[in-house]
Amino acid sequence: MFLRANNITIDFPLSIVAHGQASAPGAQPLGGRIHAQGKRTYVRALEDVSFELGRGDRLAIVGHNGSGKSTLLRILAGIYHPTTGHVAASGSVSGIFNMSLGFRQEATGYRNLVLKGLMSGRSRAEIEAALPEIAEFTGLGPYLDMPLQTYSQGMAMRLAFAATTAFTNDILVMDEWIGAGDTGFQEKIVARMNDFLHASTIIVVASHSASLLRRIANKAIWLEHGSMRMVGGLEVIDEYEAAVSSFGLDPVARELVREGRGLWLSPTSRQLLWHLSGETEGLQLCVRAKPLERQVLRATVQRCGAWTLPEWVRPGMQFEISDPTRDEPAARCTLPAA
Amino acid sequence: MGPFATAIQDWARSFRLSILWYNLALEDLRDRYRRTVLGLTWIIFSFALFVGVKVLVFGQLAAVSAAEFGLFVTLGFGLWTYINAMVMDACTAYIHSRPWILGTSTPYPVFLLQAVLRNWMIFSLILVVMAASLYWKPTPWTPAMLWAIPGLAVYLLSSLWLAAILAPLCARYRDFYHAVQTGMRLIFFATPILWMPASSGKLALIARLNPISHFVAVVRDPLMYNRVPVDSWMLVLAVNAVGLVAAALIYTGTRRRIPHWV
Repeated sequence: MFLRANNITIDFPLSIVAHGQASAPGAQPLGGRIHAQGKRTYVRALEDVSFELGRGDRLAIVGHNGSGKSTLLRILAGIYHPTTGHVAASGSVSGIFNMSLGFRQEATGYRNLVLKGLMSGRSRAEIEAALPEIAEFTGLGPYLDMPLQTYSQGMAMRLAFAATTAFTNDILVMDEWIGAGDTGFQEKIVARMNDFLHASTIIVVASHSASLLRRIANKAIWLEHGSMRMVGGLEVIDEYEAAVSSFGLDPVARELVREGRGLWLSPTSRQLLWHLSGETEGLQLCVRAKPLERQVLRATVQRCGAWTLPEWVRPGMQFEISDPTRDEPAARCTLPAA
Repeated sequence: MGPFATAIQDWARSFRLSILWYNLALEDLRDRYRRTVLGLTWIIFSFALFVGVKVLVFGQLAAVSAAEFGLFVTLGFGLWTYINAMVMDACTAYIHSRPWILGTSTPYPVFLLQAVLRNWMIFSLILVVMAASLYWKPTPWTPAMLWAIPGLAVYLLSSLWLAAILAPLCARYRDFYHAVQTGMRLIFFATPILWMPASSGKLALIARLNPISHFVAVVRDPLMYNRVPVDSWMLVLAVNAVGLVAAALIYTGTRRRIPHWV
């Protein structure tokens, strides 16, 4: 089983002439590169993207809005045809995209499940056999007999996820909204992803939820302006998070933060800097005046950050980034005695 | 693989997915008549009422017997109803399937076949009314009437290539849909449905120049007059040959860009 992308480049023709500020150097935080060819203007949504996935691989795609994640997923699913390059897959690729896509709003949940099954080439009998299990998985109960337009966004998402994964043959691609469900359903998603792992299905998923991606994926690609900025294992997600979370810092602090690891005092300003590795969910920045007294300064911390020391900070105070439910802090820093 | 080979593969895959487009077409009809009491009988009811009023009004102007004119209008208008609906649905085949085109990798001919089948489902009900109207047939029943069957088969073929041409063009150029709609309204009056070409030389000329009147003739003439219109058949076959080639070129040339257009 394999899914291969070979030097994929895709241009979208623009009907609007691009304005000057969009092409100013360095001032284009979002979207692909805009270029002109003859009379027409194009957005290069993806440029020279290549990777190869094998049996049981689960690829995470990260990148800011407009970096080409959804476009790449749609190319993998055979919806967009790349301008150059090609995708090779050992089997059919199913995808879950925007909720308004691939469903009939007027038809009932059951009817949509049947149509979804027919689309993926299943026979009527196979679909009928699979229906009870899918119905159970969605937890929608009597709502399955109602038209889709009466569903909430979250309910529709449950149906889409259940339908698509139930009729997936070998390869599944999912767009970022998958992180949108409630906690209960997110657990179901992760559980089903792990089922797929045992069935050695290939999964490609784009999401902004780094903790969800870490639980699902074993490989990652970081897209920026349609190009691959970084490819590798889960460390790519860490690097991406570090870049995103240090974006709001002042330039000096950003440089320092990128270099170091852990929690430390900035050598140039009165700031605490941190750059963590591993899971950051549940971590808090706190100060310990006495060993047993833990005072929270920030309820959540991102991978990289800076905290300006206020007036009340005294030499010898101990700061730490830790999870209140765990004993061992993720990082610790004691202010030196003056 | 060459572009034509991929296009042929699309069509082959689509024909194999017949149960899918059958269900999609059925769902379209259900959507249209959902929560109505009369349901599909609306098709028969509105068609019969329409023809009845037309015969009543325009029959006053016709020189032939009421039975002959009635049958002429029923057959002609039944065929026209299909042609018109099929042309307009061909225009929107891709646009209306936008959620599927952007959400699944289903081969595009599925949506064309869905539009054609949906129109034949409606047409089959109208054909029932048309068959019933043969009760008033002024001429004797002969085997020549069977020539209407290959005529209807040509309708099926024409619908396929027409959809393959109009669906991508209308998705790319949205003005096209309105142009076609306006054109069809004009053509209706230039087609011998409410008037008979024999009644004046000028009308006969209009009827001869209008290709749609030949499409109507290949089915209506054998049924009404036990006559096979050879000239009309020649023209219809020639139009089909050109249409098939054009459809092959347009389908192949546009298939990669359809998701950007819908």
